[in-house]
Amino acid sequence: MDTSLNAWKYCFEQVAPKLLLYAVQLCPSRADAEDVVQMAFVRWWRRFPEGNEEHIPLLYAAVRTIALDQRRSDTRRSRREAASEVALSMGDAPVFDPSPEQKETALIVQEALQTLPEDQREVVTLKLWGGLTFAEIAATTGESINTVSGRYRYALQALQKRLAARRDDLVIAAPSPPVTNVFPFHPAKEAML
Amino acid sequence: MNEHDLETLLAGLQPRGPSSALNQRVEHELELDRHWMHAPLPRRQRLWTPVFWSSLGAAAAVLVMSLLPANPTVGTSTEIASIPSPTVLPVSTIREVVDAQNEGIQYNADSRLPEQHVKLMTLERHAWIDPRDGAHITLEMPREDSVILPVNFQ
Repeated sequence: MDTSLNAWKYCFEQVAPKLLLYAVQLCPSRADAEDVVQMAFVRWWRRFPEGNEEHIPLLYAAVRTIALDQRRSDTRRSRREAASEVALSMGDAPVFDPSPEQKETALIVQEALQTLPEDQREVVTLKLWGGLTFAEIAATTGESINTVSGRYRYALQALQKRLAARRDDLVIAAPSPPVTNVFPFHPAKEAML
Repeated sequence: MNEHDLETLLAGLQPRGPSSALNQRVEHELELDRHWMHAPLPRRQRLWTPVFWSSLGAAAAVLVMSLLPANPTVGTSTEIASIPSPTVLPVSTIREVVDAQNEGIQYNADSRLPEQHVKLMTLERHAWIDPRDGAHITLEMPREDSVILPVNFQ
């Protein structure tokens, strides 16, 4: 098997759901988010085909840059923003892939996320689902660490208030273990030194 | 619900995966251009890349020099540049006069006519290009010519 040729599939399988969730925060629709993720991943993989996890923050940064570029270049986008605040957020398409018992929770959380300002939603997504550190989020968004950690704290407080009313409907599941390496095997790091 | 419970609740939700169409599009795009398969170079190689290219250029220059005639003064610069080479194409040949020494007027031993002897020191610069990878090869060759000019006394 040609490992180099197929390695991207494993990597994409690992990172694409998280990238899409992040891109959906910045794009008007899931279709737009998929376009952004496609461009960002292809660009990133061509640059870093070794799939090293230390370059993952750059992948999120690529998603952000492409999404914001598309938003700026799309004049129709601004009209949609003016017409509907909902269009700014993730839309109606489900963004989570819940287990049967989590379905209600997923809907409630998605709804609560939509109420957050975009900058807070962005930080929460990068931190909780992207697994980035505050320093990496700061580098990705071009903000200071204090700013992004503050946004994260405000976002959690807002979500707490939102979700408190529907506490009985929420099902807490164990989070999936963080992905430490997106590649099926570690590249020979000693050869890189 | 405290902050930790909330983080656990949120992180426990799995983001929805990409559509099969997106997978296909990414695969198609990566298949179109497979340069990325050869793109990652270990840092050690990257550090040595300029040296590698310099060595390649030097080796090519030696190859070209071996194709040149043994006595460069025999042929003209045009002939040198057009020596058939299997890989490189001639780009330019420039001759730059570095110095000229007037050796004075001498009388020809046979005709007994006056001649002015001048020694010209020149530097020939030949350039070739390898069309396969765009590598430039430059060769500098010092040259010394004795020029004899007719003299008329008025």
